[in-house]
Formats: sequence, structure tokens, C-alpha cells
Amino acid sequence: MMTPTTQEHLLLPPRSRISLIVTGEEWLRRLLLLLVVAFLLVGVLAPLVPLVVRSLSDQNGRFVGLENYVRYFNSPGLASSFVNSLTVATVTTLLAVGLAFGYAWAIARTCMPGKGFFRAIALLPLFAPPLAIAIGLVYLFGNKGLVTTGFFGFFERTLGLPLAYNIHLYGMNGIILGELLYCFPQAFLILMVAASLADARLYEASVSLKASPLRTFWVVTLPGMRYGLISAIFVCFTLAFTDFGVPKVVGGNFNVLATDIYKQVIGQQNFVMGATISILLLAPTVIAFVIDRMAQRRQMAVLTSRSVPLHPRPHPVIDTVALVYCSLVAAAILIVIGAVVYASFVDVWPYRLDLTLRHYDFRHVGGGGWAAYTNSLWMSFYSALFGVVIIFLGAYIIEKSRTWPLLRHFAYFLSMISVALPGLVIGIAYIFFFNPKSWTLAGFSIPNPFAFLYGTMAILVLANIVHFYTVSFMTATTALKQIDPEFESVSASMRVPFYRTFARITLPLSLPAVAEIAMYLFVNSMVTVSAVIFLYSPQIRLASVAIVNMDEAGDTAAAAAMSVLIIAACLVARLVYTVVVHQLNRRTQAWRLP
Amino acid sequence: MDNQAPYLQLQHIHKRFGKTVALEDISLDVWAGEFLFLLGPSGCGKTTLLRIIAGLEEPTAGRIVQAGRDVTQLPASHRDFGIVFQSYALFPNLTVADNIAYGLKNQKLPRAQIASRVQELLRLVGLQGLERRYPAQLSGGQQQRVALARALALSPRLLLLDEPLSALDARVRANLRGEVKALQRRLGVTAIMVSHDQEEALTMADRIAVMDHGRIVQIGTPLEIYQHPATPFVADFVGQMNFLPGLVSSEGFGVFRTGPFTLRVHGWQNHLSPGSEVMLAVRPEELRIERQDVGMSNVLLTEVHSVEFMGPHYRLLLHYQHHAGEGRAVNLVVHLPRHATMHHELRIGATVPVHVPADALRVFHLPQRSLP
Repeated sequence: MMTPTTQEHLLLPPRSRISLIVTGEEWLRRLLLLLVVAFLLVGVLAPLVPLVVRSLSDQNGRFVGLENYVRYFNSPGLASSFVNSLTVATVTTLLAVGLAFGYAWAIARTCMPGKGFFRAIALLPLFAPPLAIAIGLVYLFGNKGLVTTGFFGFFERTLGLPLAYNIHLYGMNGIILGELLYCFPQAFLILMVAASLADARLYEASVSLKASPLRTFWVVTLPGMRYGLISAIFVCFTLAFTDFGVPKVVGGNFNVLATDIYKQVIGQQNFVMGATISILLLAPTVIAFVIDRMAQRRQMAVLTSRSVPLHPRPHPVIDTVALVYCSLVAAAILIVIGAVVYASFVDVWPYRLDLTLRHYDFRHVGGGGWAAYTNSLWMSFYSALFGVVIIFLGAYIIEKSRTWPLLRHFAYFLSMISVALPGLVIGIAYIFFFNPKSWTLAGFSIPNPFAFLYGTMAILVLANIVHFYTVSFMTATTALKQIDPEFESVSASMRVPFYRTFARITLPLSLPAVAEIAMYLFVNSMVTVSAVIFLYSPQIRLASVAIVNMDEAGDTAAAAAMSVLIIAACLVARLVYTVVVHQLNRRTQAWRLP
Repeated sequence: MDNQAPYLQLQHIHKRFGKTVALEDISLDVWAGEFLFLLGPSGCGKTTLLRIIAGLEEPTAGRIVQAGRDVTQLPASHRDFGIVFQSYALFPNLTVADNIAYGLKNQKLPRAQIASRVQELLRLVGLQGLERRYPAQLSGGQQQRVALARALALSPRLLLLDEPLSALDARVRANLRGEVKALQRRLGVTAIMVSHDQEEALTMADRIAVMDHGRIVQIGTPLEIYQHPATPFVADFVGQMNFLPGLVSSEGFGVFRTGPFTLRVHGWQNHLSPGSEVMLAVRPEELRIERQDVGMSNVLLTEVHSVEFMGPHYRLLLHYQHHAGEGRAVNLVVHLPRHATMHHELRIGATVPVHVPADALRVFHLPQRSLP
């Protein structure tokens, strides 16, 4: 323990701080840190300023205080969206976290067969745009859906049973169902980690103290997964609260905040109200973010280095129940995704079920067709490439250097807050920040040096990198933390410059994380619609936006076809990632395994 | 080598982290070729001091002079030292040879020269033939030898060792102690090693600086530290020590009372007024069990509380009442050689006389009565 200072300690030594001589290497580190901070300032923080300013101004740019917010809550049509969004997000969160908890528990803690398969299926929705999930629901439960029409009247004709069932998809039911599928894999990923981090010794202690299984669950299992649960709850809430894709397709007349922003900005060109609703969209996610950070800070090491991993024991009844449960959930996911794939090949749903490729010929529908798809592939590739470089270097300079501690903390803070920014907010903030040729600040007009980005591929890539920054940053930071911090000290003692150690040691050791970040950025850039829908230009149309356009125009089959193309690209990216990591591990086996 | 000035001088080093003081006014001279230990419990600031010497951490105030040059403001990459960490910090993706050659390659030396230097270093640490292995394929002891070879590769004049042996098995640790010491002697390199293991310090060090709460409480040779600990903390931390509460007696110079007994101390210099409270200290191996109370002086009558067999010796836990009839019992640990036990009846509860040699007793005057 270090002794706390007393008054007399404070007086004794001279107050002058000793600072080390700044070497060329140190300047290089400072430059790197400054670049990262500059990127985050331009990408994350600065665009929020005009967004907030707009929400406090009228159409002519005059400051009006909270008038817009008052007006929003006084117009019943708009205010109800806020309640709707909260309702949808709450119900979705409860269902998704509950279902995912059981699913993760079954995989981590039972001996049921087929765990690898179930894990893969649970993650499948991550590779599909939320729009695609919604379109799958339309094909199943929409007015001409498979279930709604009783398998196109098949049961009625053959068995004489009216097995048609209408769940009244358009509206709250559809949104919740869609968000549930969208949020489930996210909750599952978090809870799977939490469920795997069990210390067998605690369970042995509980059994030896003659505690009942139920008591063990309450005293050992649940507290051990507490922080995972909190995290999953906030992630699901934020996603469901801010998602645009699902309500866009199956929302019907049920308005939520995300679709309101779209209508105000795209439909009515009312940017002031768009900004106001954006801030309302932002508020709960920021609160969720703050609570989650506070909870995570309290999480001391649940798993110590002495923990003994828990190996589940076979139990016929529990294993069977788990298998049945996981099969049902997996079937639901497969059916929805399968419906999209199937519908994209069906000639005229539900009348002519002959298979055809004609929906993949996008020449006669809007949205941009194959060019949009190619644009999306390039955009995702650039996002992955530049994103992984910026994010990994950013995490490296924050984690592994001792340069300018305050600025590093600030950079860390900026890196963490982007997760609280919904895609729509990023999109609309970017319009306000990048579109004007000049900004007006306190009566002065300053030329906007970033205006050239507007309407280019670069702004789309920037929006994606910022949108998916935090999760990638955490992956990089976690990988870097696992590398002995003394490597830097040893290198300095041998007068080896830091960039050489980065190239020869740090980067090679982090390659699996680098590959994971690149894959994550690519997949998410492919499936996202919310940030880019405000930013794409007529010259650079995008696949996910094309789904929105096709769906709006009633070309649902083409939208399904485009969804399938996106899913395919994501699965290929995932496959490439798997092969790369496998190769990496094979090459590095010698120094990984004792 | 220049024997006039110390090789390394630390002058009034202070280190604060926010409001906590990690190091307080550390001044220390290290002589060329010396093996100095920074010994202390965890959190005493010894590792921080080592990192400041290396330039991995900057002091809040103070001056560091190395080989006659003020290096206080030089970053680690501009100082002359090699360093070995408890975690070894070997690059897992490089072979043994590449790890050792890491700094050499950066100096743009000819390939053949690097290779021969690597071989030389491998021989030095006894790892010939393992150059193509990866660190994960080596035992802990072998890994630490590689780390040592790597630290010595650039022939630094200062070798810093941050608890290098703590992560190893007891047996490997004991072997490596001798090897590291011999290597340091042979190369004549000045070495500073951080440790919390007093046995390690006593066996390896030329001098030990004992640290506590960010200060150096005593510097001296291992024998000085063991024989003449400056404070009760040092006495307790280095080796084992029995502490007996005592009072200065009015019977004469160097006479003390503890409980009902009178103890005489040889060579007692301090002038304390009768009745002053003191702490008397004696090491377990210095106490002798008498067969019976024959009226010798400096004898305590104690009761046997427990007897533990330790292998080479027995560890007896004895106690006596400080104040007759009430108050705390004073515990006393005695190490009794195995062969000596046959003369004694050591049942639990038996009363045994313990002789406290007058030249083995140390006296600590405690102004604020702080028991270690």
C-alpha cells in the first residue's frame, strides 16, 4: 500500500515536475495520438454540435430554446411515437434477453448434442440486414404470407382445415417480432460469454453444502451472469429503440421515433424536427450507455486466474429439454431467413410458385440494382480496411504508450461514446456538419474544410467506421491488453524504436483480433441502413438502401433478392475470416501451444 | 573501473501518483560491479524505484546520475541498462535466438556477428542447442535464462532485475540464485534486483536496501541487516524475530524487565530513564532451552504451547505471562536442532526455562508503541 499524503508530505519535495526529454520517437507517438483524436473529433464529437444547435433553433436558424421539444410533445401524432418506441424496445428486450439466456445456458451448461450448429444458427441474423428479417416476416405473416394464407390454402384444400392464422403483422406485433430476431444474436453473444465464465469450484462448494439446484441457480449462476445480463439488456434496448429497418418495412401505421426522423427529413425536409427527434432518440441510449459503463466498472474479475472451468455433466432430462428448446428457437430463425431466400426465387408469391432468377435482374426495379450491390461491397471493403487501420492504431496508442495521459483518456472516452450514437443520429448529424459550404458561428462564417466529403464514398466509409467504432475498439483493446506491457519496456531498454516492436511483435500477436475487426466492420457496413440512408448520393446507391426503395415501391421479391445477396456477401466474409484465422493459428501453433 | 565515484547515484528521489506518495526522499549510491537488492513487502515502492532508475517512470523530484552523467530526464531508450521482468516478457512469436538478437539486429550489426554473439550468450546462460525453440516450448527456468541473455545482449553496464525468480518453483529458484549471482560476478555488471524474498536477498546481495512505505529504512550488507536491524520492521522482515515487551529497569545499565523476568543486554548504549517502554528482540535460533532452572540469569520460564517438526529442527512455540495472572501472553518461537530435543521433555503444557544470551538481545525504543 502506498501511504496517503499528509499536509507535511505535500510541503516537503519541490513541486516542479520532472519531464523526460522528448525524443523523435515520442514526437511520432504524439503525432499518431493527435491524428486519432482529430479523427474522433471530426467523426464523433463535432457533428453532434450542429445537431444539438439545430434542435434548439427554428427553421431560420434563430435560437428558440426548448420550443421544438415542447412542440413535439404537444403534437399527439409525434409524441405517441416516443411511447411506441419505448414500448417496443422494452418488450423486445425482455423477450430477447429471456430467450437468449435460455439458449446460451443450454449451450454452455448442458450436454445436449449439436452445440456448434445451434451456435451458428443463433448468429445467422447478424449477417442479414434487419430489413431482410422484416421482409422474411412479410412473406410468412403478411397479408399474402405463408402462415396467414394457411400455406397458400394447402391445409384448407387437402385436410379441409382452416389452418390460416393472421397475427396482424403490420404494427407493433411485426416490429417486436422483427426486433426480437434482430436483437437475439446480440444478447446471445454477450450471455454466451457470461455463461461460459463459470467457476466450477463455486458449484462444487454449493453442492457440497447441500444447496438445492434452484438455490444454486439464485446464489451462484445468476450473480455470476449479472453483468452479462445488464449488458445484454442495454444492448438490446438500444438496438430495438433506435432500429430503423424493421419498423420501416412492417411498421404500418404504428409510428416509432426512427421512422419519424426519416419521414421528417426525407419526406417533409423538416430538418429542425429531424434534429429534435434525433436528440430524443439519443437520450435513452446515452442513459443506457452511462448505466452500463457504471455497472461494468463495478465488475471486478468474476473469473480469477485460479478459476476452474465448469464442465457440464450429462443429464438426460435437462439435455433433452435444452435440445427441444434450442431446436425451436433455431427453427424460428431458419424459417424467417429461409422465407427470404425462398421468396427471392419464387416467380409470383403466392400465386405462381415456380422457381426463377428473374428477381435478381434488377433492371426493372428502382434502387440501383447490381451497381448498388457493388457499391456496398466496395464501401464495406473500404470501411473494413481503413477502419481496422484507424481503430487498431488508435487502440494501440491509447493502450501501449505513455504519451500525454490526459489526451489518451480523452481519446478513450471518444472511442467509447460512439456506441451510444444510433446510426440515424450519425447520419443526420453528418448532414448538418458536412453539407454546408460554411458554418456560421456567433455571426462569423467559417468555410467548411470537410464539405468536399459530402456525397462521396468517403463520407459513407467514415460514417460506418464511426458507427461501429466502439465494439471494434474494445476487441482491439482486449487483444492488446493480453500482450505483456513490459514488451515496450524491454524494447526501450534495447533501444529498439516502438514502431519496430509494433511491426514485429504487437501486430503479429494481434492478427486474429485484426481479422475479427475487419470482418465485423465489413459485415455491419453491408447490413446497415440507418446511417447511410441520409448520406448516399444518387451516384453512389447502396444495396441496403435499395431494399428500402424496392419495398416502398412494392417490389418485395426484388428486395428479398437483394437481401439474399447481402446475406451471401456477409457469409462469404465470415468464411474468409474463418479460413484466415485457421491459417494464422496453424502457422503460429509452435509458439502458441506449450 | 572508476572506484572513486559511485556508478549510480539517486539523489532525493520523490514519486507521487496523484495524492499518494510512492517514494519519499530516496538517496542511494550504487558502486560499480555491486549487486544491490531493493527488498521490501509488496507496495513498498521498490518496483517503482527500479522503473525510475530505468527511465520507464519519471520521478516527481530528484536526480539520477549514472556513470557521471545526469540521466534524470532521459527516456529509457537513451539510457544504458538491461532489464529482466518477473513475467519474463519474452516475445512469444520469436525464437530463443531471435529474442536474444532483438536488440542486436536493431544495431545493424553484420549477421555473422549477431549469430556469434547469440551463441556466446546462450553458452553464458547454459542454453546451447535451444536457439530454435519458442518461449512456450521452454520451462520457466529456461525462459528466465533467455530473458537474462537478452538483457545482457547489448553488454549494458547496469542490469535491472524485477523479481525475476518469483514466478519459478522453489527448487529452480534456488538453483538460479547461484547462477545469476555467479554470472553477475563474472561479467562485473552492476546489478539492482527487486525482491520481497528476504532469503533471496541474504544469499545473493552484496548490499541490501530494505524499503517500507516508500522509504529506505536501512542499507547494509546482508550480515549487517540480519545482525543489526535498524528498526523492528527490518528485524521482522529479514529473518524471524521474537519481540518481547520490556521496561528499562532501575537496577542498572542495560537491565530490562519483561513480565516477572530480568534480562541483561550487552553493549547497550542508549540512555533511557527507568520505566521507559522498549521492545526486546531475539532471533529464534539464538534462544537456548535449558534442562532445568538452575538460577542462571537471563532465563525466562515459559510454557510449551506447541511443537512442530520442521525437518532439520523443531519449532517450539512457547509463552509466558507479561503481567502475572492477567494480560496478554508473550509468544516466543525457538528453533531447536533435532539432536538437541532428546535431552528435553517437550510435552505441551510443560514448563521450560529459556536462556536469552545477553549478546543476542537487541533493544528498540518505541516512542509510539508500534508492534511490527
